[in-house]
Amino acid sequence: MRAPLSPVQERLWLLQRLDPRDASYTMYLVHRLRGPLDSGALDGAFADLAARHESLRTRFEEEDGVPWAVAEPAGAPGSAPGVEWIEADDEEHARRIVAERVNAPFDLAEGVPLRVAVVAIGPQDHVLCVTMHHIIGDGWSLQILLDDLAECYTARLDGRAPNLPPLPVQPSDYARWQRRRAERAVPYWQERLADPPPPDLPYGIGGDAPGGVRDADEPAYQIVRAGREIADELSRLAREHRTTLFTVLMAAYQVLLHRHTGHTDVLVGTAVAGRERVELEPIVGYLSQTVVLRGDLEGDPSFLELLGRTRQEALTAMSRPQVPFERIGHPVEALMPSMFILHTQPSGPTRSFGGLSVGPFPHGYNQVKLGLYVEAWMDGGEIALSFSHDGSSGSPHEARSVRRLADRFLVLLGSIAAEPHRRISELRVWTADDEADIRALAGDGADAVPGGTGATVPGMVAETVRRTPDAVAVTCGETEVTYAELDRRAARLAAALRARGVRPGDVVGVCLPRSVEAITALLAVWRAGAAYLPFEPDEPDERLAFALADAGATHVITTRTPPAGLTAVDPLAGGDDALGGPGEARPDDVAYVIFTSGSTGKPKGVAVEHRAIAARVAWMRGEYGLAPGDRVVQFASLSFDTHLEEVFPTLAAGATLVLLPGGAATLPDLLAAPGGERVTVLDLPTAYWHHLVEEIDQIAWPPALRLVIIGGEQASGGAVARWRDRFGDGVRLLNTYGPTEAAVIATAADLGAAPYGRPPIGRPLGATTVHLLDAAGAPVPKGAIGELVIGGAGVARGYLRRPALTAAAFVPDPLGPPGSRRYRTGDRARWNEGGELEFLGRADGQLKVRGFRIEPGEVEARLLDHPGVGQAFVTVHAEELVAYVTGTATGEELAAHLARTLPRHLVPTAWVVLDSLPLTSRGKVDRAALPAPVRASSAGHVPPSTDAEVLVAEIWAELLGVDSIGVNDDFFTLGGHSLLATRIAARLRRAIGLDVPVRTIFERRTVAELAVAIEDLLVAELEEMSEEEAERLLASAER
Amino acid sequence: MTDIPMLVVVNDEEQYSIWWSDREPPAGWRPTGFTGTRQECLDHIETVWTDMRPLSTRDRGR
Repeated sequence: MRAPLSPVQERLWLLQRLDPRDASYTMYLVHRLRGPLDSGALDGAFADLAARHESLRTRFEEEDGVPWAVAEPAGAPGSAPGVEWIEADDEEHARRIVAERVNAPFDLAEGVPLRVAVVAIGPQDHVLCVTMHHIIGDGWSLQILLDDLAECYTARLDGRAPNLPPLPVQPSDYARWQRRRAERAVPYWQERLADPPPPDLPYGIGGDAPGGVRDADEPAYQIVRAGREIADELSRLAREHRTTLFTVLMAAYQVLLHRHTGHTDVLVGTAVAGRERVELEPIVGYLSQTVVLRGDLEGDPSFLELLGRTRQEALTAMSRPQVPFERIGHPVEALMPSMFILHTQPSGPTRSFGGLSVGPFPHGYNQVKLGLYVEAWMDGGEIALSFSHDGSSGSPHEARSVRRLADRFLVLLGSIAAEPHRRISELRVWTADDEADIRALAGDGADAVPGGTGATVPGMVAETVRRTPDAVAVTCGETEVTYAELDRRAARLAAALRARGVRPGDVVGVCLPRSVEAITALLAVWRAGAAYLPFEPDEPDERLAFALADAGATHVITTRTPPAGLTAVDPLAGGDDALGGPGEARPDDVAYVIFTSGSTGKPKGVAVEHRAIAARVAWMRGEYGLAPGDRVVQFASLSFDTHLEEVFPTLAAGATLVLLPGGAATLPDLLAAPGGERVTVLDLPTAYWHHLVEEIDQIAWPPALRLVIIGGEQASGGAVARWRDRFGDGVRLLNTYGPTEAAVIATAADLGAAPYGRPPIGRPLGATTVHLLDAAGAPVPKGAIGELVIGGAGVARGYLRRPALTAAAFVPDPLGPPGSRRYRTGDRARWNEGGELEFLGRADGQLKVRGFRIEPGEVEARLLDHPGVGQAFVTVHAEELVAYVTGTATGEELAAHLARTLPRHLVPTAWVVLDSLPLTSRGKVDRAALPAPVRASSAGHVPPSTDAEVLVAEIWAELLGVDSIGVNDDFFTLGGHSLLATRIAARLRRAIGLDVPVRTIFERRTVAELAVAIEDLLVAELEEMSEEEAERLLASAER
Repeated sequence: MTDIPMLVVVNDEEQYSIWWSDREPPAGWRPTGFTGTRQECLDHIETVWTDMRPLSTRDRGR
C-alpha cells in the first residue's frame, strides 16, 4: 500500500536526504531487562508488534522527487526487521554497542528505518535497544512500543492473545488528514512569525561562529534537578492559575532567555504530542508537531502576568499543526533558536513485562538537533532538566557555559517558586559564582594612574624634551624635527595665541593638513592653557562654523579663511617668547573637544579633560612598550580621537612620529619607500586593516614592525587567522575598543593564539571599569548581553552645551568613588567564558562605515531638509553608506546638498530613489525588502582598448562590483574609496609586478588616466634599466 | 520602561544626571527634588544645568 507523507514526514525526509550522515533524527528505546528472558517469545512479540503497527513495516520510496510511504501487508514475511541477538563481553562492551546503535543514522532508501537488538550481558541480564528514524515514530511512540511489546511478550509466555484495543486509524490515514489540516494553518503561522526577533541565545550558542566544532568527548548535555519543594510549588502555581506545569516552565525559560539577551520578543519552539483525538493515542508514528511560542515580555511584567500571557499563547499555538518552516521566509534557526519540551509520558513500561524487571541503561546518545535544546521531565517528584547544545557558539568552553546556564535556570525556578509576583527583572537568575565573576571582570577603576593623578600629557611631553632634546620627534616626508625644535615652535605659536587673546580655558580650533605644523598646533594650544578642537583640512565651511560656535571658540589655527567673526591664527605665527612659557594645564582642564555624529541631526562636541587622556596615554605608553627608537605612523585624521593614541604616547616615550602628508591612504607607499622599513608600530582602523590583510603579500610590511593596534569595528576572525599565518607571534596584534566619550579606548585584547569565533575586544584598561547592564541597570555575568558602560579615569566631562544629552549618557556610577559618573555607550556586548568582552553591535541605529561612527538620524535629518525629499532612510551596505529616498531629488543633487554641511564620511556614496520605503507589518522600515544599490558605469560608455586599460577595468570591475567599466568612468563616482585604492595598487603589483603609488590612484581617477600613468611608469622602469637588462627582457618577451 | 518615574540627581561638582526614583542614589549624589518621566527629568536638566563646568574648576574661568 502506498500513501503520501504527512507534512512533518516530508520535511524530515528532505532533511535526511540533504545530510544522510545526520544521526540526530534517530529515536531510541534503551532498557535493561533483568530476569529470565525467553528469546522465542520476544521474537514472536516483535512480529506481533510489527503486524499491529503499520509504521514498523513502512519503507520510503521516491518517485520523481516525491516521497511515498510504502507499507507491506501485516504479517507478510520479511515485512519488518527481526530482532538481532548480540552477545556482549561485559557491561562496558554492551554500553559501546548501544551507544554505537543510537548514534547511527538511517538511510531512508534502505528499507524500514528500524533496528531492534537485544544485547546479552549475562544469562539473566539483557539490554533492549530499539532505534528508529523519527519519520516512523515520535517520543510518544516509543512508550507505546514498550507497552505493547510488554503485553505481546507476556501474552506469548501465557499462551494467550495480547490484550490490546484495535487500532481504528493507521499512520497512512493520519497523513492524508494532516496534510489538509496543515494547509489551513499556514496563514496563522505566517502572520504569527512575521518579523522574527534576532535569534540571540546565551553565550552566542546557535550562532554561526567559525570553528564551531564541539569536542566529541565533551558531553553534549548538562542535567540538573530542581528539588521537590520547588517542583511542588511550581505545580501548585500552575494549578492555582489554571494552567499546566509546562506553561510555568515555558514562561520561566522565556525569562531565562530574556535576562540573557535583553529581548522582550522571544521565540521558543516546543513539541506537542498531536494526539488530542482518542483514536490517535495508540498509534506508533510521527504525530508530534513542532510549534513556536512567541513570548511577549514587554513592559517588565510580573511573573504571574507573564504566566497569563504564556497560557494564552500556548492555548492558541499548541492546538495548531506544525509550523510550515519552509513557507515563512526565514531559516528555522531564526524562527526557533532553541526548544523547550516537558515530557509527560512515563519513562518505563506501564504494563507487566512477563516477569522481567525493566530499568534504565546508559544510552550514550550524543546527537543534538539545535543550538540549545532543553528537555524537562518529572523524576521522583523532582524536575529533571537536560540542556543539550551543539557547539555552535564556537567556544571550546561551551559545555561549561551550558552548565552555568542550567544552574541559572535552577536559581530562577527557585526565585519564581518563592516570589512569583516579582517583576521579571527582579527575579534572581545569577548564581553566587556569577556575582563573583561580575566583580572580578569589571576591572579596577581605582587603579593608580601611571605617573600619578597629577600627571598631564603636556607635562609628559615636556619631560621628553628635557630628556632627549636632540631625538627626532616628528618626520614628515623629508622633514625631520627634533624634540627641542618642536618645543621651540610650540612655544612660539603659544605666544602668538596668547598675544591674539587666547586665554586658559578657551577652545581653539585647529584646521590644518597633515604636517609638523599641525602637531605643533596641538601642543601650542595646550601650552596656552586652552583645549583644542581639531578639524579635517577640508571640513565644510558650514560645519566648521557650527562646531566652532557651538564650542564657544573664537580662534582657529589655519591657513584657510575663517568663518565670519573668528580670528585665524597662522600656524607659523610667532609671538613674544616671554608669553610662551611652559604650559600650565591642570588635570581637570578640558584638553580637547571632538565632534561626533548626533542622532537628532546636530553633531555634539565631546569635552575630554587632561586627567582622562593622561591616564590613557600613560597606559598606552606602558602597554605598547614605546621607547626611543620606535617609529609610529600617524595614520588617523586629527578630527578623530584615535590621533591622540598615536601622537602622545609616542611623544611621551621619546619615540618618533611618522606623518603621512599624502593622506592616510598612502600608507602602503610610505612603507614601501626608503625609511618605511624602520616603522615599528601601526595603529589602524579595523576596516582598513582588513583590506591590507586581503592583500597581505603585496604590502611591504616593515621588518622592524612589532605592534599593530586595530580598532573601530568588529575584527574578522578570518583576517586574524590570515594575519597569524603570516606573522605568528612576530608582530603583536592588539584589538582595541572605545568611544570618544571614554577617552579614545577603554578595552583591549591581545589577538594572540588562534582565536575562536568572534575576536574579542578584551578587558578593561588600567584605571577603567566596564560593566554590562541590563535594561533595569543591573550588571550581567558571562554569557548575557548587556549595554557596555564605562567608568574610571577616562570618562569625559560631557557634551558641550548639551545638558540633557550629557545627563542621559553620563550617569551616576554606584560602583565607583562617591559622586563619580560612568558613560553609557549604547553598544551591546557580552563576556565570553574566557572573561573577555565580545562586541555585539549597537542598541540603537548608530552605524560604523569603514570605521567612522555615523548616526543615520543626522544624515536623514539633513536629507529631509531638502525640499525634493519625502522620506529618507540611511544604512550601510558593503562598506558603503547608502541613502534610500523618496521624492523628486536625484542622488547627485542630494550628495551636493549634504556636502555643504556634512563631513565627507557622512555623505552617502550610494543612492536609491524609491516610490516609497518598504515597511514591515510592524511599521518599521523593512531592511530585507530594500533593494541593493546598483551601480552603473557612466552613460558615454567607451570600452577599454589598450592592454593597460583592459587591466585597470578588470581590476576595478572586480573590486567595485561593477560590470562593464568604460575608460571614462571615475573611480570615486563608482563607489571607490581609500581602502579600495590600496587594494587596487596591490592588485596591479600582483598582476604586472609594478609599484603604482596609492596616491596615483587617487589622482588619476578614470580608467584612461590611470592606464596612461601605468604606461608611463612602465616606460620609466625600462629607461632605468641598463641596455643589457632591457635587451634580456625584450628577448625573453619575444620567446 | 520609559515611563517609570525618575529623579534628577546632582553630585558635589554640580553635575546633573538621572536615577530611578525607587532606588537610593549612589554615594555622592543627591536628589534635587525634581521627579518625572525620564524625558521630563532630562528636559528639566536642560533648563537648570546652565554652567556645565565642574564646580571646582569654575573659579579659574575654564
